[in-house]
Amino acid sequence: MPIVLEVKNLSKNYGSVTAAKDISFNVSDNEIFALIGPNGAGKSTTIRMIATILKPTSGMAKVLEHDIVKDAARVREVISYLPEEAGAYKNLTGRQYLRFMADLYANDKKKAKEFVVLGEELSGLGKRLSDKIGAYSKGMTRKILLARTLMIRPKLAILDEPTSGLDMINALEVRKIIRQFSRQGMAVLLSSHNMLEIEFLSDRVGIIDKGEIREIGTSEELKAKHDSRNLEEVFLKVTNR
Amino acid sequence: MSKLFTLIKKELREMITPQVIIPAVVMVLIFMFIGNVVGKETKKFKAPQNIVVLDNDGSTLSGEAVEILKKSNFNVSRLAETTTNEAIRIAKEKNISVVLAIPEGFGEGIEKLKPQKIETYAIMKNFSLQGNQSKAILDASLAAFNNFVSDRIIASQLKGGNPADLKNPIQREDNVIIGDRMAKVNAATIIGFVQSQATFLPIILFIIITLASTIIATAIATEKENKTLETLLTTPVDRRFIIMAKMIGAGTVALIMAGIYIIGFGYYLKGLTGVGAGAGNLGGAAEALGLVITPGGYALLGLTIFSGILCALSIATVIGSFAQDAKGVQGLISPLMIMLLIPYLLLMLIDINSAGPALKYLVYAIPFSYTFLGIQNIFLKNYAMIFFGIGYSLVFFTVFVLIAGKIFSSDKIITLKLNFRRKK
Repeated sequence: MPIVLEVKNLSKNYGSVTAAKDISFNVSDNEIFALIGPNGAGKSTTIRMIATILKPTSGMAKVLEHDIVKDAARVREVISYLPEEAGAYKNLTGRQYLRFMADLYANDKKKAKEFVVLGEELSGLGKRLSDKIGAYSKGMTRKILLARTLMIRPKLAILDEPTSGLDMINALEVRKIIRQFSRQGMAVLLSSHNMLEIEFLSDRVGIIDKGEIREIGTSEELKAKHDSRNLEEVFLKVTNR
Repeated sequence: MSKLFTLIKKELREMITPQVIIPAVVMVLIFMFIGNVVGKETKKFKAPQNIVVLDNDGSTLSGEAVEILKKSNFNVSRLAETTTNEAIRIAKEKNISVVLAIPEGFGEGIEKLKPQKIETYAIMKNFSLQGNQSKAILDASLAAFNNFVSDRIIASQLKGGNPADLKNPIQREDNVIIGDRMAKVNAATIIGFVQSQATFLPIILFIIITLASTIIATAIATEKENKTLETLLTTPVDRRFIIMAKMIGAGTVALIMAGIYIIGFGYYLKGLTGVGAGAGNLGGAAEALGLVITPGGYALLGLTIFSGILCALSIATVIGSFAQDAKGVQGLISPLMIMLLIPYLLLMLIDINSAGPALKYLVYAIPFSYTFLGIQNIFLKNYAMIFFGIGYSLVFFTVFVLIAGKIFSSDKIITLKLNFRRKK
């Protein structure tokens, strides 16, 4: 399968603090790659560098052969990013928000309309799309944000805690959608604290701790290698906790 | 460009909210209400004033003096052969706040050229500015009284002369010179005319610049706080468009708000003075002195104001980039507010050209000084200062836009943090 995201020795320092060190991994077309690690391990820093928000101190990353620093504008055309605990514009209605985001990605009105129709469907918010986002619950806001992320059918979706704030039923629904989109030709880089979610969703997992990748493999490979029943145990063994 | 319009539309939707518009409209209604109430009261004051005159003298002179009061815009209730207490009781009954008591022998004493006393009684019901009305009535009535009596005495002694000529042997003819123009007008009238315009505009400017700066800094900080900025920065949109859209949005909202305030303030002044804001009735004097703003002058004034607003917006954009959240903006924006307050207050109170060099250079180093001085400079045809001010503000704008562009195009927009709030 063609590689969508290639990450090589990516590092980020904030003064004397190293937030990410020599991070390397690839994500292929149709693949869901999950980064797992404790708080402050460097997951979000890595994700933000790939999303072109933070500039790496050293190393490189390419999305469909476009360098995230030198060719950031081209990278932004093919990625879609969902930050953790993100909000949305409270004075816009759900529909206005989807239209606003669609207009930023689409090059013509027809395409923008297609994006909005898909976004409305993915959000599952029905009539509530006419309400202002300020009146939405945390779960509803997360759903509209996820719909916004996926409606443009990016080549690479970068999802930071995609199901945070969602109840079990909605989380299940969202996971199904992510998997379905991935199978239709979208690479996914996600981070999550929910090991069950990681096991269900991801094709491969990268365990990150203290800014460094400790292990990479499928859930089955990692469980077998560390003689563990589940990813939680693997995680604890790999990070020596 | 369509992406820029998409961003501007979003900014306006986010910035023009009932929470922003309703307080402004309420403020206008309050301005209108106060102006209306004060205006009505002022009109009442200009109407003939009621006064009780207790004439216990009954002489020809006292009778004639009362007639003069009637001709001098007073409604006189004349009482005779009664006590002062009775006169006060009647005044209270008729809701009249002033009583003059002319004692017996008043006319006779004046004829003998001996100074005479008139007792005055001011019935006070409150201590507001309007409560001062009784004093004004007393002063005016006694002035009319004195004038009449002194004219009578002078006329009787002078035989054929005009008492007014004797009292004011020197007649003044005022001239005012501005630049190389001159007009026959009183200097106080001209100062009043210019101040009515030069005071009103800085108030509105102060509101516009403060609002625009706060709106844009808060908009950036809120986007950072909600992480909507992170999302926006990963979209295929030129980051300069993100800054431009915020500036255009904040500028538009500030202009709308300024329009609302101008309407409200105009009604307020109209209520207070009976004329529209900034209006002056000086005949040809203002024109002769060149104190009329030509279309070219308006264009220059507009450019001065516009460059000042742009300058404030660019500084506020950089400030907003440092804020972690909307609450943090309040502390961070104070240096900009100080930069606004210094010229705003100083230029209202003093002539900066006669100030010491340190203060003068400080004021002229602040770009907003030229904005506040705009209308005065246009009246004084000080074009060098106007163009320098516009250029200076645009240099500030360019520098800060470049800084903002640098911040937005790097990861500094996410990593920059300054927070003056106490950590828990």
